Amino acid sequence: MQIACPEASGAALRTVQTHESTAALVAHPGWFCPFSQRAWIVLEEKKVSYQYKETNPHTKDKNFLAINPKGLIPVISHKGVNVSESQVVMEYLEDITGPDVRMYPADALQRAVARMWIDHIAKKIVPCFFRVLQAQEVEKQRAAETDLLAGITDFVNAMDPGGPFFFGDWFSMVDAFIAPWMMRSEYVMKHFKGFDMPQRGSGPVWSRWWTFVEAVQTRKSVVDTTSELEHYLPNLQKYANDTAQTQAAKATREGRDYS
Amino acid sequence: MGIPDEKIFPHATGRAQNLVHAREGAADLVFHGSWFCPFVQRAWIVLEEKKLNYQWKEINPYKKDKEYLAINPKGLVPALTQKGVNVTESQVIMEYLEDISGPDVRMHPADPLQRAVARVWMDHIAKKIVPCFFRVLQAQESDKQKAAEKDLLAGITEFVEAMDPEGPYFFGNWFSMVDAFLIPWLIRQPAALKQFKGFEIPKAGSPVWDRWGLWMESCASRDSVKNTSSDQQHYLQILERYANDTAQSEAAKATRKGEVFT
Repeated sequence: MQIACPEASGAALRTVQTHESTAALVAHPGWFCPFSQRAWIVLEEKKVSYQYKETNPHTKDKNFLAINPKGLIPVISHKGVNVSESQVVMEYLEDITGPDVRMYPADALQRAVARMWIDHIAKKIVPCFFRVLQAQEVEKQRAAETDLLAGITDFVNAMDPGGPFFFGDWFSMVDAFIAPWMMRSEYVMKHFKGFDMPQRGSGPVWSRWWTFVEAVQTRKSVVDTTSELEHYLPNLQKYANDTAQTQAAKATREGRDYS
Repeated sequence: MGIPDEKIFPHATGRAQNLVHAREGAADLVFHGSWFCPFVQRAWIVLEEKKLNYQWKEINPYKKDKEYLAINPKGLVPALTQKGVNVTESQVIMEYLEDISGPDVRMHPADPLQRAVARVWMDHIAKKIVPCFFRVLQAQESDKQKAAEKDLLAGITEFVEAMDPEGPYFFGNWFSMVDAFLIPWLIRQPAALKQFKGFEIPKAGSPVWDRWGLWMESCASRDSVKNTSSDQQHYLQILERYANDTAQSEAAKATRKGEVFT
């Protein structure tokens, strides 16, 4: 699959440029990939020293396949070990960094709460974004929209009421896990599928949701790993036509959730 | 009018029954499980390995009991309650148990990179092995069954090739989270797959299958695994409903829809 634009743009490009030199930890993200962006956000939040290597798994580059035979992104390479799966990478980054840049609660039980809501995002929110975007029939789209709003509602009801982030005034792994889809949410749903998500005035859930979205979208680590919107559109158009060939797209097409 | 699955045999048998009796007393940590559920057994094995004090509460997840739905709105097992907080999802519970217990009963590698390796292989088990068990068992058409068998053997092969070559466990001579994450299916499925689907996973005959056989036997003979397992005939009774694809668990329904249940 051709990615229209081969590299990051805007703020993300500046971040890429400051991470070009060799480092012990090498990150292999795709600038366009939301799963990669999760891990990239955490790298930035924790100010980890890393080398950014742009990776497009669709080209099936031999060097990359040697690192990750499944050809999926993100992957990080550190001390001769390759770690794949966005959530595993995020847990690893938490494990190797100090309490001053903590992204999980210090308390073990609250950490379990964080992981439960990460699981919820992976199963009940993210797949719904793909299902809405890729729907080709009205009833399928409506069903996906209903599920998306239900998944979001449960998530919002678990949030700290003061906010703005999930756990309150500090940005955690839970926020980073869903952040890449925030940019895509309101605009993308409306632009590609004519789906108007409920607005602030619709009730306390939606008021809290949009406060959350705004706070996450404007977080520095999120801004610094986001490219210019126009460059995401050609890829997203392929999802909207249901012709995209990513693993996520194929899974959704086959009626399977992808996480 | 309930579903037939509600009439599931109501309690553990064999060694698991002894353990359930031993864990009846109130405790700060309450573990809500179903004696037959492999997802429950993952976390149950970890509780036992770490010698944690807990109260076992038997749940029938097909009955959607109001009291339990307050603990887990999804009505699924396992769940863990401690200090007023309810924790669900087997892997989240296992990571929590690791967090609250000491290095002497560690089930993840001490090294963060190796811990990441453990989690990568738990992800593989969740996506590339466990769902295939359900697919083979629930298949009603020969070509679907063959495809599922092929995927199962491929998923297992990849897993075996990542194991420490000596073993017997995944990481070598110590039993870890990775082993606990998969072994429950090997307690239940092989007899059912043989009886209902005429399919057996090789246990010897090549380096991969020799190593697999060693892993399976070593894990199965672990005390924590034996003590949380019930009698075979009771598992077979439940798995028969999967074999004729009438089972109503979330895992069965997901498999029927061609989805992966994790």
